Amino acid sequence: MTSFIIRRLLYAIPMLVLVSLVSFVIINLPPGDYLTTMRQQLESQAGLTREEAMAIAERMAARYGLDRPFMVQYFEWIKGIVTRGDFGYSFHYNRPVHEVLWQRLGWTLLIATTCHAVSVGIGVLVGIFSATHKYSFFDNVFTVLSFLGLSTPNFFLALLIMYYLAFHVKTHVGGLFSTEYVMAPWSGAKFVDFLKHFWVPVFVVGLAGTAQNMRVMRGNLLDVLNSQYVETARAKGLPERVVIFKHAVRNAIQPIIMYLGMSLPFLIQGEVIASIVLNLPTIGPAFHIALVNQDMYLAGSFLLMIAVVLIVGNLLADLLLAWMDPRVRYE
Amino acid sequence: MSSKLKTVGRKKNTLILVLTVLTCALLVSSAAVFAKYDTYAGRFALEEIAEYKALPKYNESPDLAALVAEGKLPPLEERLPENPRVVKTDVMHDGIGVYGGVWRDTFAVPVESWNWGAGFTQGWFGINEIVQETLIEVGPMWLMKEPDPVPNLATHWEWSEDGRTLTMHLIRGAKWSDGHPFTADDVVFTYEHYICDTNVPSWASASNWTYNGELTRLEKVDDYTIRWHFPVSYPIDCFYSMDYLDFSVVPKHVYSKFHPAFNPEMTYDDLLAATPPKDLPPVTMGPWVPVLYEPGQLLIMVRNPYYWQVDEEGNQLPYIDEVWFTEAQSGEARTLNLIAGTGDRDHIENPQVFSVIRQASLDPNAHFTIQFGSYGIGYHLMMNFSLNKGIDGDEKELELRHLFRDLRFRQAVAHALDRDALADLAFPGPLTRAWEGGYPTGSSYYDESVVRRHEYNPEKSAELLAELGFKDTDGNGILNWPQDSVHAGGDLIIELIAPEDQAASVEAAEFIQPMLRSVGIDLRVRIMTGPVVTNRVDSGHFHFHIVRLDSTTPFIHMSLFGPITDNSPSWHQAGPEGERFLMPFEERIRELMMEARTELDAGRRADIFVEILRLYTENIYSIGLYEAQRGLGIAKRFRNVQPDVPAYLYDWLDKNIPLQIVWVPEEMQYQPKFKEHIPTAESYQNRSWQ
Amino acid sequence: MAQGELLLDVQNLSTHFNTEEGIVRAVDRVSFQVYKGQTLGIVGESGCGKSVTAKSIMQIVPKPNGSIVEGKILYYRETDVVDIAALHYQSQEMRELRGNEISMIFQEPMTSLNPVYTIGDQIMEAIQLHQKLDKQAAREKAVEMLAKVGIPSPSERIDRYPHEFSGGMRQRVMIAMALSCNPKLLIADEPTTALDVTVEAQIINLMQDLQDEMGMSIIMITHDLGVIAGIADRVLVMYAGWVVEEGSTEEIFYSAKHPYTQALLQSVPRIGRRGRLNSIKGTVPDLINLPRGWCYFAPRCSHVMDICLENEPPMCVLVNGRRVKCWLYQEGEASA
Repeated sequence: MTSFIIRRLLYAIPMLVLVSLVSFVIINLPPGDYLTTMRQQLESQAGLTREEAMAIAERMAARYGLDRPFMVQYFEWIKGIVTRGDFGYSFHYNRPVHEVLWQRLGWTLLIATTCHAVSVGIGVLVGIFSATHKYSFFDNVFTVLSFLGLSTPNFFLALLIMYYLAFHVKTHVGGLFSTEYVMAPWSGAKFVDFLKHFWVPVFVVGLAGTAQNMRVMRGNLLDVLNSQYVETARAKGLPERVVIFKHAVRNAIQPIIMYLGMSLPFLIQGEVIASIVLNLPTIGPAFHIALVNQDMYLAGSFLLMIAVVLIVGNLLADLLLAWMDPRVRYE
Repeated sequence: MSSKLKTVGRKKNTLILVLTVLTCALLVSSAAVFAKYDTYAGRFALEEIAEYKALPKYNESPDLAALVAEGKLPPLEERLPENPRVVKTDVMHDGIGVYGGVWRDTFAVPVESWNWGAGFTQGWFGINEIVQETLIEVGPMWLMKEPDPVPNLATHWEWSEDGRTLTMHLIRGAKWSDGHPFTADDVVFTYEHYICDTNVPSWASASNWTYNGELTRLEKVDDYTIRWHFPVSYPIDCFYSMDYLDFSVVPKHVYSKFHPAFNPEMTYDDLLAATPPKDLPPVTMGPWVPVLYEPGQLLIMVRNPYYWQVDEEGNQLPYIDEVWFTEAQSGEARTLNLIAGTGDRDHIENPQVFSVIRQASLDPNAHFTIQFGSYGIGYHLMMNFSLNKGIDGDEKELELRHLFRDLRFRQAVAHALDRDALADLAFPGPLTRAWEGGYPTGSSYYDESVVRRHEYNPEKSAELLAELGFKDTDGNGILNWPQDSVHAGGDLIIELIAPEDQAASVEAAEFIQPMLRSVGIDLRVRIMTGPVVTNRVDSGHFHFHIVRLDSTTPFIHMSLFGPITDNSPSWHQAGPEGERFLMPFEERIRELMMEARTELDAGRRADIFVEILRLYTENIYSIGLYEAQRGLGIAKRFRNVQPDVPAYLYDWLDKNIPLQIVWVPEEMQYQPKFKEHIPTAESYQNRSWQ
Repeated sequence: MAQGELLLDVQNLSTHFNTEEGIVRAVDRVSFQVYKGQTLGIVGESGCGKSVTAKSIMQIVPKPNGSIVEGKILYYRETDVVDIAALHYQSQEMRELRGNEISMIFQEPMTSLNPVYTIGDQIMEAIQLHQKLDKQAAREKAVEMLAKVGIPSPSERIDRYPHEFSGGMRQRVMIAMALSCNPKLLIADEPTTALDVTVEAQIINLMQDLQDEMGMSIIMITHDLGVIAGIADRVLVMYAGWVVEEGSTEEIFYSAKHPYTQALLQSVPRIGRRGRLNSIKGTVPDLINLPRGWCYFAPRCSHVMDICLENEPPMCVLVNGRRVKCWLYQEGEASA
């Protein structure tokens, strides 16, 4: 098993090199670079003339080495990562890349893990209920809801909610706290305020996941309930509750657990579009802004991070599978 | 008996009469002291806007008074300058205000650094305008009968006889928010070690101050007097290098600690890394001081105890206690917050969003109202006139450029466009209207009488194109080049680029396409991301380009309107060696612009720019499409916001009102929540520069 | 073999399934007895109702469609008799019987055990559920059972997973699990159908040895007459939900009365005989909404008479306990 893990990790290295190179190339493909964006901003926001903006941009280019050949910039960047753990500089945020990532990582992980926990928790429980009460009234209700949840694009849902909140409920847009609580230390009231804001992204991002988990769980469980070993378990005289949860669910839930491992990169990306619409201080919007503005070290680092997480996630998924299903073993 | 009564009655009547007369006199006199106008634009002389004088008595906010009583702040008289800047009641729509309340706003660019002199933003959206103070201001120029730069930290100035020396006097005894005196040292430090130091990426640079290859010298005469030594006579536009961003004064006692010229242990990287966003509170001279910042979430500013401006009754400004800026991911959040009632201001510039905001404002419970200023935004179409930039040896490209330079072609295109339709399509109603180009009508240099109109006349257009030799020889509806041209009978195809993040430009481009198609021009519309479009324009690789014009002040932004530098206007840039083939009217425009740069007289200056407008529209330098009013969404509870204050004219709203005179009646005030953060001596101890 | 004491008395049991298309009378008025220490074989084609009968006894008829609609299942315990049919299938009482006094093993050894738990876990689960033993004692008991069913190195194999055993081994494990609580009645639903012949013989022998050792009764459900011949004392022949014939193994094999039984015996392939196999013509009727009032076997019967298609044949009790459901016979007739 250990050799398996080591081998997988070794395979990952050329993969990461490839990912970093490809992403760096693609980010720099559109003509221009971050400075073009910066100049635009200067002209529109600061009212500078084109000459003034261009002059400033030129100075910045010299300062950050943006006027050097492309491959040189790439190697410098990789060298920085490998030798110093320095992921480069973000022009847009005017601070080192790792600071930008670090700041947003906390909220991203919180939202993502909560969404996942909620979507798995609720989805699985509802799926179990649906499967064991097949075609009952509630099963039908849940089925309809789950199809709605699966087919509604979540940015659309986010827009709807934003509209409703801004135009009808009249709540504050932007961030996870009301103004009076942002700076305040944590307290019961602050936590309540947080929950009042937090339910929106969890709902928007988690709805599709919940619906999916519910459908998958229901289907899997229905299959498993027809298995012979479930009948054996009943024949042993076990209470139905034990039969369902200990024997049936334990088998039916495997694909969902496996999928958790593979969805790790999406945890980090944190559902970009919904985050942008909802104005959340997470990684998704920063990633989007980095791409549009060609803030190349930031964008490249994001992509690299997602690749790492994807590889780790896949590895974890495989390990989880082996742990959950004794029939699977790696040499 | 009755006669006695009659006498008493008569005395009573007289008393009543006298009282009535007195009351009337009182009312009239007070009315004379405080008049409320409907419009404020272009009404006032400088002395009616602000002056510098000592007043017999001063007042401060009760919170500051409490801190003084606790010994945490020096008394008000010691904090104010000798002659504070007094904002006149004339420009206050609702008169003298009361203390208290909160201004809630939204911004969408993260705070980069408090070191504004080194080209860092504090978030835009009004934050920069609050913390940065300049020698002069252009914002209040909208109020003036004869617009001229308004004194700010510089109180008055004189030119020498030969116009090569400008002596400027600075406000005496004003202090930075940490109590440190503001002096000429700060100004000289900013000029020599920020602006003129090529290692510092300041907004303005030495080139702003270089005339004929020689750099202007700045001399410190004494603590409150500086003297500029110019290489040329009367370089009037130098004032526009003393305003917002170009000369936001940097506190020497802070940044000299990080500057290599003063501290050999420091490098320029250290200087640029100085005072990061969380290093609070920064040292500023603005009305409010940033005290709390949660990146990605919220920026809190509280009143500056050392602010150096007062109202006519001696009340230290600002009236409003706190300014809260929510940080969002995009500018739309500001609009949403306005509608939701959780934000107090928004600028309405996008015709696409007009109706939504207007709808929300019509709700009787809406907390905000909309005011529209003059027409200050224009969308125009420009043709690439350069004969040597972006050609790359392509003969066909060169031929197209020659075609663009032919006035008849430009007239043909102008007549083919139905501008009224374009304005209506953008937004039906009075918020947009057809525009000929040049300056939007809200500009103080706009003069209807010189504008040459090109009305919608597709037949005329077809005539002109035929005159140029175009004919549809192959019957596909597109005109063909003459056989003896380089294109040799090919279709007349022109490419139009527009940036995708300006929805209005994109829309206009798409509406123009069929209009030109109907006169036989095959217009290929290419929508691209902003940076890509900028790139194409910079390198001169474009035919047509539609873009939004934000400026109504050609004197300040000459390069947007004429060939004042090698790279302006963007549609006629010089080639790689600097050579350019200006058309005669362009040469004339350039001459006039050079003249205006050194013209002292505001009236004569205006004449020059009116003449430029005439040349511009007669020769269709660029084709105006439609202009729009720049709107302002503002919370109803605010007082002293003039009904016609522009969101942006010479500068942004915050400098135009200006923000420090805005107040809220007590019963409508939001409660400030950060009073304990008002900066005192303690807040400025053990800081990174000490 | 002499009749021992009565253990299970099934009287007029009917189990129906309520499907969308209609009612399926999977078990239709079935009656039989099982005596202590005896093996009852139930034989018949697929779909004749033998599995459902077994599941009815265990009260694990698939829900929500299936349910016992009439009849009694009287189970004789030390001190009392309990009517299983009257118990709710999820009741505490029923669960105390299930897996404890009455156990069942199933047809597919490959899928009868939960793949994610060790066989030890699964056996101990039954033990700990019904007997108040602690983990250590339960484990010892489980190892003992494994040894009894012939699993080599049981104390080591007990921690293995089902997929590490062959089919035959797994069936032994199933038997170990079923017998771990010393049941009075073991119901074996086609336990050897999925195994190859040599393994089948081993399993059957094992079951007989354990029966001798533990004194339990067995209901052996199969369609394999060879297995019946090997292990059953009495035989029940079922067709389309009915019991069509009952008798001792010898009686059934040597003097089958019912035409169906005869045809079954005829159709068994014999070694040495070549040529076409004797199949029974026709197919089992579709049980959905099957109307009453006729003999379901009639269309395939070689002795069919008019009355067979007009009236349902009664169950005739012949002398010495033989029963036949056929118009060919009359009540009280002597068996030939």
